[in-house]
Amino acid sequence: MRFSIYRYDPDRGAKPWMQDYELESEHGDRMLLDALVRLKASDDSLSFRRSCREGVCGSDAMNINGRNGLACITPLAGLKGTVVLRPLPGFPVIRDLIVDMEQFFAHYHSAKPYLINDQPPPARERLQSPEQRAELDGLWECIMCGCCSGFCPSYWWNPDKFLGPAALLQGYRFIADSRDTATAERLEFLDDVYRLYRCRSIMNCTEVCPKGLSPSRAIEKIRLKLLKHSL
Amino acid sequence: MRPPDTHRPVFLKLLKIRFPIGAIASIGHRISGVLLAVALPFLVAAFGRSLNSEQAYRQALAAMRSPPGLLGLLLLCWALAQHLLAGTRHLLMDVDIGSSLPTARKTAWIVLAGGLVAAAILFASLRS
Amino acid sequence: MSLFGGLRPWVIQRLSALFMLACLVVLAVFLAIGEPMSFAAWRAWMSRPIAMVAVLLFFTALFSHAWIGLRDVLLDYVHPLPLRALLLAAVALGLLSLEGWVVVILAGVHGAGS
Repeated sequence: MRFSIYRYDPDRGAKPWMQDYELESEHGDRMLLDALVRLKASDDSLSFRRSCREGVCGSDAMNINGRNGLACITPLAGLKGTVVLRPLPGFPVIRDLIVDMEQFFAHYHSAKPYLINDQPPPARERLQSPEQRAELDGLWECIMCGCCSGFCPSYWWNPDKFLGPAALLQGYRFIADSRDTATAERLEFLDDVYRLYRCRSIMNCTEVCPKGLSPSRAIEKIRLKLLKHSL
Repeated sequence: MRPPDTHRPVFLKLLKIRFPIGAIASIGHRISGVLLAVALPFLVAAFGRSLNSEQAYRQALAAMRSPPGLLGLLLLCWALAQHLLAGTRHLLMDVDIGSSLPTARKTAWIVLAGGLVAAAILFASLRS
Repeated sequence: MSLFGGLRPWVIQRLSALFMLACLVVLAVFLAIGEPMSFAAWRAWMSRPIAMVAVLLFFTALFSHAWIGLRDVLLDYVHPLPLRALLLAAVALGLLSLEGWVVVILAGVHGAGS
């Protein structure tokens, strides 16, 4: 197997470069992460984030043959030719495939991704009907890997002002939650030419979400809620 | 601690990124929109001139039939058709029609192909 | 308080698009079934009050739609603040002038009598 991997060394200060690697396939190789771990065994300077190796922590998001994805759930068998690995587009590169996620998480934080309900808590849970709970499906599963925002051209051009699909999807997750009472404030925060309205439904986000979520649809639902709210 | 003025590179080589069909439709929508906007002064000018005099009316039609005029007209026909179709796709997605990924991909192809076909039809009918 | 707002321009962009779609459908039907107009017929048709109002509304929708679209392009791609402010002002001024020009044209047709 042949790989071409983006390298950047901040200590050397030079510009990033693409380094070629060759790897003999072994019986245990199934996912791209398996190959990366073995590559690192022979070249310890190769740096990338990884943790759960099963697609739930979101650490190993990267650009694989031109599309964003998680290395641990990308089968090697599905990768054609030389595997080209690059960091998430648009994110500042710390080293090799490791990117700075500070701005990404700051946007997430600004969307107040926690339940806001000042009413006195009931004796047990705040109850929801099955239908109300179903509203959260397709939203709670986000692992904040960054594949979506890293593939969104609107986020590339304005990463400091546009919240990006991940934070917006989480914003909607709480707007849609029947137990949350801060809907009006959440909508007012999002009603902004930059924060929400840089999105023009390119749908790159939905194309690359490794969990099969649809941030574009969540954003569309925020827009409809904003419209209904104003009428 | 890293020095405060360390510059971190960003990977944004668009040619190295594999864009889905929806992204192509979206940039087509933007490019066609900008082309139409650039043509606005000419549109208003032509509108005004067409109401001035018989001579101006004929001149405008003749200018449209000249080679550069035809090229411009073809480009504008494409821009209009593309922008209209892509815009309609967006309007439908706004009300949750076609916003699922498989459908959105299909409509993106339809919009791109339809833009070319509609442009050809529009151009042919305006020429006559 | 923000200068450009979020929901309102989005709604205006959609409404103006729908209005123009309706107008273009009407125009397409008209062009398909009608004969190419002579200059005199064109001018006579344009001097009818209902035609002038419809055309003015159409151009107003068109320039509003173009403003929001072009504003979006500038907000996306132009980052230095002074340049962005200048270009936005130039586009706004340009579109306002075009609207004024259309009014002048329509007034000219009306003034010359029907």
